[in-house]
Amino acid sequence: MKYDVAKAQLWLKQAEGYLPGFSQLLQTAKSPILIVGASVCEIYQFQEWIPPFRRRTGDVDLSVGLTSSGTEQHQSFKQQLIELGYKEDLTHPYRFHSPKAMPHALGYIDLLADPVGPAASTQQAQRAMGVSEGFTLKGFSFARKQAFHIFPQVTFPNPFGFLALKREGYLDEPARRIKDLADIVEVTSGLVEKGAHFEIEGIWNLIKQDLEAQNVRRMLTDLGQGESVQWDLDNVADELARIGFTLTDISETIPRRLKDFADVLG
Amino acid sequence: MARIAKYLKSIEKLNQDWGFKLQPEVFERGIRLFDCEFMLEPTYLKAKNSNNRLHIGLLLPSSQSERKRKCLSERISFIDDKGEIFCANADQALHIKNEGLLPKRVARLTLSPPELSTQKPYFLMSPNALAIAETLMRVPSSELKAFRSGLKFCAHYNLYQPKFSEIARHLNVFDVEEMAKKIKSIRLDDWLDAFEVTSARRFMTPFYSKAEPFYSLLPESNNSVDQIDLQDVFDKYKKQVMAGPSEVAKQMGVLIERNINLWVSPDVIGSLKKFKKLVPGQSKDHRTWLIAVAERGFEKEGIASHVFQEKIRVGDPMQNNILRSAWDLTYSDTRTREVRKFLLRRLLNEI
Repeated sequence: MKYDVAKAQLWLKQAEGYLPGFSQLLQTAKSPILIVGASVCEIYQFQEWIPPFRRRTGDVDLSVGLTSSGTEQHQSFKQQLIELGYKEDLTHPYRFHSPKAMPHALGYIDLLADPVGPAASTQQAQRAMGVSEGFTLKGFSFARKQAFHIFPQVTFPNPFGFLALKREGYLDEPARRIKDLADIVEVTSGLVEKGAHFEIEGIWNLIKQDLEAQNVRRMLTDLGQGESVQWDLDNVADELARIGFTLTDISETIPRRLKDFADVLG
Repeated sequence: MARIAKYLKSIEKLNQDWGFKLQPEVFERGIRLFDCEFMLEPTYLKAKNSNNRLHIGLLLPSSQSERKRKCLSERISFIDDKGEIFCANADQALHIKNEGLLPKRVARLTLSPPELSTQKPYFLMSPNALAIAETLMRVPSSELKAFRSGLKFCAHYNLYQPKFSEIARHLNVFDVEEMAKKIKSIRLDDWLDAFEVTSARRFMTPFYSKAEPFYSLLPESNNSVDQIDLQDVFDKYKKQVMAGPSEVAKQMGVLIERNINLWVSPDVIGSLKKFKKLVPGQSKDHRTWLIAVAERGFEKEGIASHVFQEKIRVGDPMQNNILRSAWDLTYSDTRTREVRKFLLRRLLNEI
């Protein structure tokens, strides 16, 4: 896939308008930072891999990769956010509200953590975020593979990594996380709409042996074929209609695009 | 007499339900209906041997559904003891049948299908037959004369000889040139009627039922409204991509259309999409590529012409069976359907 780091940094510059100090914070990051969540779609949009993303997102999800035993790396990043004037959310211990709140703009950062080095563990990451053991970190390790670099320590996942994260998110709570399935559908359809799937084979060949990659492929095939109960576009039709897809898009065009994407993966 | 009585009741019921004025008269062999000159008899054999001045039919118990089906298919009139009647003469048929699930007094009036005219080329609506017909229409008479038998003609053009014999029997012709003359004399409207026969869809996949829309992300080098140079596609996928029906019509100068349509072999569809950056869907900023995958192959589907075309460049619509393309257009939109006439005229007169 044709990746333009300047375009990714342009996205960062735009985000800086709502999240002051954000760009500088990432530029000087010492720990491996992975950008996750729907804001990745905005980066894809800046790369022209997908058309404008329809769902408005209010946050940037960052995950600090823990390389050592302990939570210091996460704590250090958190401290820097507080010093920049970000305020901790009272309900979500990993959420930090921007000092410059604006309507219809990115308003907060979700600061997550995931184990990267062999010395780190999932429990340690959950402890760092202050969440329970139910908080899933599945797919993070896969999402870091063949990721694109914005700065030396800052990456965002390739489309398979992104889809794997969304898949895990949806499977965790299908009823509540229907938006994750809508994101999966919208991003995959968008990648085909922009022809990015014609250039995705290179990345796919590097990761296709992974179980997560195979799960993503199977999910897209199922969604495209319309014969699966678990991965059924009907489950997400209302959500897709809500964000502006037409009936023809939902019933004809999107399934064909998902199928074309799956076909490219062989 | 008791056996006849139930049929008399049945006729009486028909008169009541439908307002008919059938006047049955019992005679030694059965019932005669005066007004429509039908003679109905209890057995098939007698019916066959009867005087053919009258329309001979059968008195059939309602339980004999198999015999009724046979009568319907062979156009033998009958009446049963539950009020079902089928009357057929040379060019008309009337069928009234009581529907068990409907209220008793509601009957269904069914006109039996018209007998297929031997003048209309229904018998040519299959891939093998269209291949033969198209070859006969395109090869000049002077060349056809050289073939002393249908066998040699079929061998030369790789046509299915048993089908050739079948057509010859049907048209009652004995040589290749004579068959060509008969096929060329088929009226345009008869061709169009024959194209409508739905049973042909069992043997040939209509392009428009199979085709899916795509658009290309590549910039177009040729901005002409109706033309786009597909030569690179045809050169790359020799014999694996062929013009679709309206592409044939466009190239033959009988249709102006911005969209493209192609038949594509399943082996190269993925590669073609990549080559032309084809994305599923339609976009108002791009021309639509309607692509149908010929799952059974061009040969079995009868898409390719059998006329030798060494001098015709790859991808030329002349490589298509033009009759097959015209048949395909039957299933397109109303405007494009009209093009069939022009395509056939070109085939009959000018190719």
